[in-house]
Amino acid sequence: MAEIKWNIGKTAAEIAKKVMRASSKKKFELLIGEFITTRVRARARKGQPLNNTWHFPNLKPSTIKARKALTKGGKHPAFSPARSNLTITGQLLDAVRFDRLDDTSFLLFIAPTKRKLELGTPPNNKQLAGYLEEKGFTIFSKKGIRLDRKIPLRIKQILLRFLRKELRK
Amino acid sequence: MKFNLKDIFGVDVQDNEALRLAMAEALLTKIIDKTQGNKSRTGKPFKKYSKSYMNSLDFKAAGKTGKVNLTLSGDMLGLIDVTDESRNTVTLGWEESDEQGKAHGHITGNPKTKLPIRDFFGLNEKDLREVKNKFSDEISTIKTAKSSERDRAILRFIKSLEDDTGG
Repeated sequence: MAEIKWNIGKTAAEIAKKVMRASSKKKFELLIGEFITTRVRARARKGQPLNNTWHFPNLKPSTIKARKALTKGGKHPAFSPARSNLTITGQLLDAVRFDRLDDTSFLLFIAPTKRKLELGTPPNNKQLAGYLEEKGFTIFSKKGIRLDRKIPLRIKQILLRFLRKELRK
Repeated sequence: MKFNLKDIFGVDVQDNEALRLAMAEALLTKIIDKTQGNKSRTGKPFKKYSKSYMNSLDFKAAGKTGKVNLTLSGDMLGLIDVTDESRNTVTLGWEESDEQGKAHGHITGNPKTKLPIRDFFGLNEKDLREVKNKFSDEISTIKTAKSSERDRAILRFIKSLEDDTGG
């Protein structure tokens, strides 16, 4: 299953433990979670995984032809028959979640499908993530993790802003 | 952009770093909120996005609407920082050159790329009054109280994060 375990660093963890009140800590986690999940979805819609610079593989002509038939109906505005960006149903991107493991680690993962699997129903999130990973369309590549360099800067800034606000309390 | 906190808040903060940074954060928040609410520095709405930009993949992938908020990845507004502070002044800006360049483009516009002026970086008199009013309770409390141990711990952490140039 596609997932990334992520360490925010000793200093940030120490801060969270020592000076953030419980309610603030929760709010901080929500802010980080919202930032990361938004980033994952936006990058996937551009055809890029979160942690690498390469694009998803090109589609075969037969696939593009088949996707043209899907253009009718309420697709995401970023949907294009010629570009894979996980927006046919948006099922997988909608299922991207963020959770705290402990004081230093966070987990980015695909939530399991809630509905029951029956014959003729669409694949669940685990099957979908597995299938796409096999085809090279993984949104959390495990090979050579290289986070977009702005991500740690943004997280640091979210933390700094949070701490400055704490000074008013 | 430099702000004189004594002029804005009417309080001398040269010996109170905690209050100075809290005020800087209030100003920074106001700039971001205002920009995301489609208001320029002067308070007028920004010029609308061009059709070609609204049709771009970047625009659609970010899930943006036609509302002008200068937020695509969110990095430009998200990386505004307190770049300098001393005595009664704070300076807001960018340490990150990409985002500084992006902001400069919006503030001044670029006829070559047909980027219109969308000057978001600053606050008008009404904004400053609003920030001050929101702050009035904190000022009366903090002015008389010594910095708490918690405040000092927070300041130490802020310094350690600022010194961590590795991001």
